[in-house]
Amino acid sequence: MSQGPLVVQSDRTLLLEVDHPDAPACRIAIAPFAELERAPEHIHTYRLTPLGLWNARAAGHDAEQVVDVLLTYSRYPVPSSLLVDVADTMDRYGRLRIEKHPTHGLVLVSTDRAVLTEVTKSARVKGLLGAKIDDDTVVVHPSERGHLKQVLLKLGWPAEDLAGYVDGEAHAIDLAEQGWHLRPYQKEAAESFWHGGSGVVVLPCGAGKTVVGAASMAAAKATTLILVTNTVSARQWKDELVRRTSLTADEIGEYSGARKEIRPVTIATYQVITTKRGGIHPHLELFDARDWGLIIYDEVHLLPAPVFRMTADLQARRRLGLTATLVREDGREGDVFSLIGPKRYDAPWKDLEQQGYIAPADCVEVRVTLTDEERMTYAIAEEDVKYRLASTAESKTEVVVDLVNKHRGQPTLVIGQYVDQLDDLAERLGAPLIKGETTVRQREKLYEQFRSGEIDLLVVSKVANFSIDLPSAQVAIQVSGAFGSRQEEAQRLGRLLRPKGSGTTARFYAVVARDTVDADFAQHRQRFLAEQGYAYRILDAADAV
Amino acid sequence: MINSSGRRPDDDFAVTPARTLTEALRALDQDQLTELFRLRPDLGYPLPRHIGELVSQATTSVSIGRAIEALNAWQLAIAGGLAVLADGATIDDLRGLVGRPRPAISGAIEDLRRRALLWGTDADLHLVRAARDHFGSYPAGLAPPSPHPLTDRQIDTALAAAGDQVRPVLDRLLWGPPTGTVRNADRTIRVADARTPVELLLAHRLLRPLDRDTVIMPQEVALRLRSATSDYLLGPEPVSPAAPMITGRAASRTVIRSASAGAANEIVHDAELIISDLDAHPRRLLRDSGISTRDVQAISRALDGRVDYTGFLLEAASAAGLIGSPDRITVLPTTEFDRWVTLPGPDRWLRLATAWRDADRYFSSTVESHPLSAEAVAPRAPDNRRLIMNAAASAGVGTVINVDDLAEVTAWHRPSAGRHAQQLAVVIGWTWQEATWLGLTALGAVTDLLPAVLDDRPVPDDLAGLFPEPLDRVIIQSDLTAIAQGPLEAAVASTLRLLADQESRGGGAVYRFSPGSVRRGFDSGWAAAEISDWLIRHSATGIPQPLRYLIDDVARQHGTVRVGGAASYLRIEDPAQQAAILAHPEAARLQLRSIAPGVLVSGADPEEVVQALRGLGLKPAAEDDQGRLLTTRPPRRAGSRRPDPPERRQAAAEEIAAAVLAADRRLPRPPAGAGASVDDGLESLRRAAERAEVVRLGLVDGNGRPSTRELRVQRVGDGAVHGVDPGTGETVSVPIARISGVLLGDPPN
Repeated sequence: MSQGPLVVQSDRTLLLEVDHPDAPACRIAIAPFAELERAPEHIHTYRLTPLGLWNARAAGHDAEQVVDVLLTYSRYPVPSSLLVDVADTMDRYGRLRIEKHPTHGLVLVSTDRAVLTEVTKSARVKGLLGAKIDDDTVVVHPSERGHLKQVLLKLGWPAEDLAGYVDGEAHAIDLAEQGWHLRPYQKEAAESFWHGGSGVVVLPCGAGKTVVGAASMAAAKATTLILVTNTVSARQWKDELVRRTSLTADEIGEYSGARKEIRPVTIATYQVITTKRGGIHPHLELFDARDWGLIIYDEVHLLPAPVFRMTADLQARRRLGLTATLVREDGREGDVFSLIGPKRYDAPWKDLEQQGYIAPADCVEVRVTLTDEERMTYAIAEEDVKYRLASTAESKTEVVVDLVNKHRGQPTLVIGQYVDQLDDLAERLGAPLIKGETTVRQREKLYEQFRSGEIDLLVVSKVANFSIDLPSAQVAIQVSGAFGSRQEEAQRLGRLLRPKGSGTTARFYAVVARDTVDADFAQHRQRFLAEQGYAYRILDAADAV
Repeated sequence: MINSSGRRPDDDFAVTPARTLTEALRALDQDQLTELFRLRPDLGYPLPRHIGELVSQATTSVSIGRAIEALNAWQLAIAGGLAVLADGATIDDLRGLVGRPRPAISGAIEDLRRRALLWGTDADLHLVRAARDHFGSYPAGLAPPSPHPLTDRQIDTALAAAGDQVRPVLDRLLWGPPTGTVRNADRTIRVADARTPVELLLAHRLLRPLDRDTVIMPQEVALRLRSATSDYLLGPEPVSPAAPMITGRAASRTVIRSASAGAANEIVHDAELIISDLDAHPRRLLRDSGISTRDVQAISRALDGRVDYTGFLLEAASAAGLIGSPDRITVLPTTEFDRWVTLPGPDRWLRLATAWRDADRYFSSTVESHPLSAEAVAPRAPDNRRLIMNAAASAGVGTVINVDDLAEVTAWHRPSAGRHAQQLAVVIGWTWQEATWLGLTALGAVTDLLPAVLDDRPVPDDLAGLFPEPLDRVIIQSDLTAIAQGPLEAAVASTLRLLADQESRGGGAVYRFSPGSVRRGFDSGWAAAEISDWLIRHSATGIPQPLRYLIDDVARQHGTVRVGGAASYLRIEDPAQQAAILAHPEAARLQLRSIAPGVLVSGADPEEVVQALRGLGLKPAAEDDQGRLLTTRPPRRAGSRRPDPPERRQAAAEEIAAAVLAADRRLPRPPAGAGASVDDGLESLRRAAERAEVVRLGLVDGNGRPSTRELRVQRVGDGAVHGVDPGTGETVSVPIARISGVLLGDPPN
């Protein structure tokens, strides 16, 4: 019997023993078609999904290769049903292709007439397809290219889009590699995207996704629309582009609630695009404002539903999705696949960490025992306020203060959800606070001071969660938060994951009230972090400080 | 085996060929008789007491019908050919009908002889009358042999003379039925007067009148016409003496082996999983003794919601005797299951596969009704399954098979099944899917596991090596999962399923610890220390710190309600009285202690406590014993019912043969030709009546129970044998229909 590192499960998961000598080779071999789901210390779990297998097909892998990889690395014989399933699923991709016909324009072409017949008979493609040219070819209404791809994916026959892209309005963009260089994986990611046409690059927080965006723009050399989550993030993109490319600040416009600039490179927030007035989206004009050659979607896993709909109409333009995870909490991974494109590049966190590009993080859950008085208050409280009570217990505040004092001198963030608690903490710690009502100008000033080392302690509320670059943070202390959200965890850790020159390990504390609902929620976080491969410890408050 | 002369090879004295079926069967030795009972198992029930009874059972139309249904296309064609020919035909006569070489024919003849469907030598073949009747009046669409047949030359001349206009009529009668309706068919027609094609044919004697309104095409005319296109004359499509070959492209043997072993491993684990689920949640049976759709769906959740697969597993587990219902109300694992889980993987698999092979049910048919339901019984299932799988096996291991080819081969082996093509296709579909689940086929090809199951051999060593050894250790990680990198020992898996929730199954398994699952462990009586000890013993990676915290957290909360053991309790309203009782010397003997104000508990039984308190001058009132500590019952188990292994069935055939032979030998050897079945016997009864002889009659009563009675025969007639009982002198009439055999001569004392 083979002694391979992989155990293939009936439910389409793959268990990889990481300490096995063949594990590194196996990891590389399965990465193109299997999604890494969990990466705790000993056994990593990958999952075979139709989307994953189709991603592999889009990247040029065939079923035989996949089956061969499974048979080569599997410890036990692989059940035939699974092999058949893999082959059948992969075989479905590419039977249908969207192509450009010299006279008829956009067409759907099939190598399998039965499939084309099945698809054209479906009620769901009604209105998306035009006249039949011959037995293998049907006209596609150009406006329905994206919608058709969505429908075909749902029908289980994902189409390969080979119809190409418009070049868009040319604009000179070059990388300005002065004092820094594109990292090998960033270069590879940008190239994989460019050769694939459109698609998604998956990189962990802190791995420099903005730089991959810049490199892709330099390849496109065309006007670019960048969609980001919020204004602060938009400003950071702008700063980063000015620093990394030949673009000047004047060439880059911001299209947000505050400003409506349209320039050769325009950065817009999801919020402004999805704003509705009188039942319509007034800012839809943005997409037609210029002849964009490239559209970049930052944090594609957060892409709101209206943006998907708008994207369906932009299928002739190159699209780059950037994200730390393909997992969407709304389960719309299929829309990302069909509308933005297949996964073009993926680098697991742990690999980059091993290569020294991102800092390892040490996660510590600090258990605080509430006082008898607090416990009694908690015990008799209504269910809906229990979480708030547990999160904001006074005992926790004291532990946070102790932890901050323990790490005095190291750049530290204190993160929480409840403003009262944060106000109190900021006052007791004598630290500045960033919360919802803090102006953008004030926020930027504080972030800048933190980055420069002028201040080494910041208290931030959840508004500061997304896309804020604080590379100098070494310690984060979470006192309360909307747990259960994987994205939030990823964001918070992302803040600590930027590479540190000193090589020190970043530390992430979560202060939790013992025997309360707070601790129950902490279980979700513990599971998520352990699955992501972080060292996770639980300490009693007394031992921690 | 019966040789062509129908005599016992070791009996040098019996040189004369058998003159009746009874004689032919009486000449069989034990092995040959065993073979007969194996080929026609219905002959053993009820057990015939001697050869005479055996013959009468073997010549009933029901039994003959069954025997003929079990013939393959070639054997059936030869039997049909014999029905076309007159009694006493030869192999050469048959050659004339089927145009095949002698060995192919004599092989089939031998097969029919072994089934007691015919007797006599190759030069004097007698198809048993009931078998002849089975083929009807016009076997192969041919009229009976003509008393005065035309010669080939006469036929050719007549055909030429009748001309082309008669062709449509001839074509219609050619392949049967050979009769047509014509008014005044029996009038005499001269060639010169003939107008219509039918009249022409009648005039040229190419058709004959059968009665006033019917004409028939004489056998020799049909045969002559048929021989123009083919030398196979029994039907428009020649029947091949050999089964059609299945061919296909060869798949990679390595991949097939791996895929089949993978499937085999999977089904063993999945069976264990769902049977264990029945242990945890016994399911109620419906009135049809099936499991409800809702329950099947609930069980199937552990198998990715595959309801059809779940139904199949339940059926297979039941057929293998691993689950059962002691009370016909709930279905539970059997004691056999507890033994089965300790067997090595290949043995566990073989148990399921052979149970499937021999089950008289179509497992997949229950998808539409309820698994285990009584309705799914199908006596032919094992035979059909074996046929289909034999057909697949004939393609050879590793050949990718087109399922449509299976239908063709199966139809050759069982023409009776082939006549219901749609049904056959459904059964083949089920069987093929089930075989794939079992790993008997993989990726469309037959695997090395199939021959093992068909031929009752153990799993080949090289394949058995692909069944992983069970592990007793798991890897526990800080995300609170325990990962088994292979199958676990049953006891370890069962404990893990208690302490954690299984999340993933297959080659290995993933279990997740949660507060709920750990609490379940505490509820089942485990203490924190026990859980930790068990995990340390079975974890290759120790207990990660988060799991230790989890167990401690649950233990701490679990302890907020305390449960202890006591045999009785005392409720006392007056604190002073409580203090007085506790202070009394008797309290120590009764192990009394206070657990709350007003409540005492005692280790002594209520009766004893009441007696003791009365002794103290108190007036205690007894309460019923509700609220006592619950004790855990041992797991319930249903009694096992193991399916009959095939060797048992073989043994049964042997035992029957031996019993019949022994019984028959105890009878005095009657003069040759004296013992006779009804077939031969009516004539002898008439002779006995002439001589007023005593005969012994084999009788079958209205319920099919055989008996014998002696009779001095006086008269045969009116559908009965009339005579006098020699013992009582009573006059008796026995209906001929009830007579199963006749034995002449005085009975033994």
